[in-house]
Amino acid sequence: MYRTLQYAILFVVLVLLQVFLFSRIGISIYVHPLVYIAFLILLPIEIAPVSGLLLGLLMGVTMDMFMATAGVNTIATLFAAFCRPTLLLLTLGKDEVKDGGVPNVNRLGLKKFIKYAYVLILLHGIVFFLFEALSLHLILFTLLRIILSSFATLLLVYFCQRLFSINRQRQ
Amino acid sequence: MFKFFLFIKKIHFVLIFIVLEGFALHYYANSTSYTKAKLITASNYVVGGIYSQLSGLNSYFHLRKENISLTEKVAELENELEQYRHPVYTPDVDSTILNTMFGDTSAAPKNRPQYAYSQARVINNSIIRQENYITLDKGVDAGLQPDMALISDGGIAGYVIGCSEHFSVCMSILNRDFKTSGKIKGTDYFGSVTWDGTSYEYLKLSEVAKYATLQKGDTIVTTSHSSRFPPEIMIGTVESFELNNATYYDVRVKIHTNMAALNNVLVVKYLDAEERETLENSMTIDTESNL
Repeated sequence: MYRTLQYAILFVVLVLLQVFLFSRIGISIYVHPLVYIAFLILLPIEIAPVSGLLLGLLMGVTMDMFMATAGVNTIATLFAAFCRPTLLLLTLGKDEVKDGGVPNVNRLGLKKFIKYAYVLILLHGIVFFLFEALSLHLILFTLLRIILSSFATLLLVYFCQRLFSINRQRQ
Repeated sequence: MFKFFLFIKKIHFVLIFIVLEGFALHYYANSTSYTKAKLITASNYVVGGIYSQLSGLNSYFHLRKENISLTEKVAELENELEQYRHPVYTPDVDSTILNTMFGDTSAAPKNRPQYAYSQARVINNSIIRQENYITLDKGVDAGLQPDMALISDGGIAGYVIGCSEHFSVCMSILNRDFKTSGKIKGTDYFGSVTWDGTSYEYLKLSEVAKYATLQKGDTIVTTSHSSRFPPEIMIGTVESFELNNATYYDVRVKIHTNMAALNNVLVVKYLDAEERETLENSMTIDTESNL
């Protein structure tokens, strides 16, 4: 595995950001950015699906520990990791997936990156907020939370990938 | 057999996903607020110190506001104290009558304290989730234990559900598992207080009998039904209400406590909780066995 150290740093930074900043500041009950999903988004394209799944599990369990959500993060992150290979195939096509690389804006272009990242964020967010609400009673409220939170997350993930790319270029 | 292995290899990704997701779902389905409290207690060993530092920094920004509310509280207590300093003259006749009726009552302590108060600082608090918890900077070593009530600014904020050596995890009133009873101040009409998860400024008071007279701005306080909260503690004020099924009111209550800026809280221990619970439980067992 190459770039292992960089991904380890990314993992730790994202966990710290999520736990001490984004889950704490409380902008609004509608906006809960789940920025840690950036780790899953930025994993190498060519990574084995099973490795992606296990890394997703690791991230989910870590977040569950710190946010005391007893499984919601794991359920959502595993689901996102499960969908990722198919999603990459759909947005990039077979040839590009074979070439591999880090799926950031430099590699995919802005349009494709946004498409790929947003669908993944949305899949993750839908599962997360539905399982957190655990009822269809306030479905409109939950939908609003999903939409607003996913936009906030997308914005933050965009900044994350920029910082992550800068870090790579320097090397 | 070989074909079987090929098949497994083909679907191993889906299989692993299903197994892992199954475990996660199983764990989530069987979790209660107490398992979640245990999770926070465990993670506090790692990050509790950092939370403590962060909130220490944060509390500087609230000093001014804290000071004002403290002085207000001091004034209020001072007033109350004044009444005790100049007690109203009460004739001794009452006690002699009581003595003849119940024997000598002077031996029994008259005003036995029912609640013990102590102070703690909030070091972690969330308001944007469906299940919010509060972490305090004191634990077993400071005498905290589960079921103690949290009061801030004279209004309810939550109750303790788990303690470690130096930290305590509390159920916030902004948690969908939270439940207590509340009544309209000055009357005996009560209902159950819950949070529906949509706004950190409002609670729901439901099942209030339709005979109650309600008005916007009425005060809702805790009842003496709870074995956690002392009675007559502020919950909030009536924002709006509607008659449900023509039998009871559902009331939207604006929370008195500023949950978004919790800093110092009072921790209240109900000294008779154990005795009361034992008695109440033994009664239910008795009636069940009689059936």
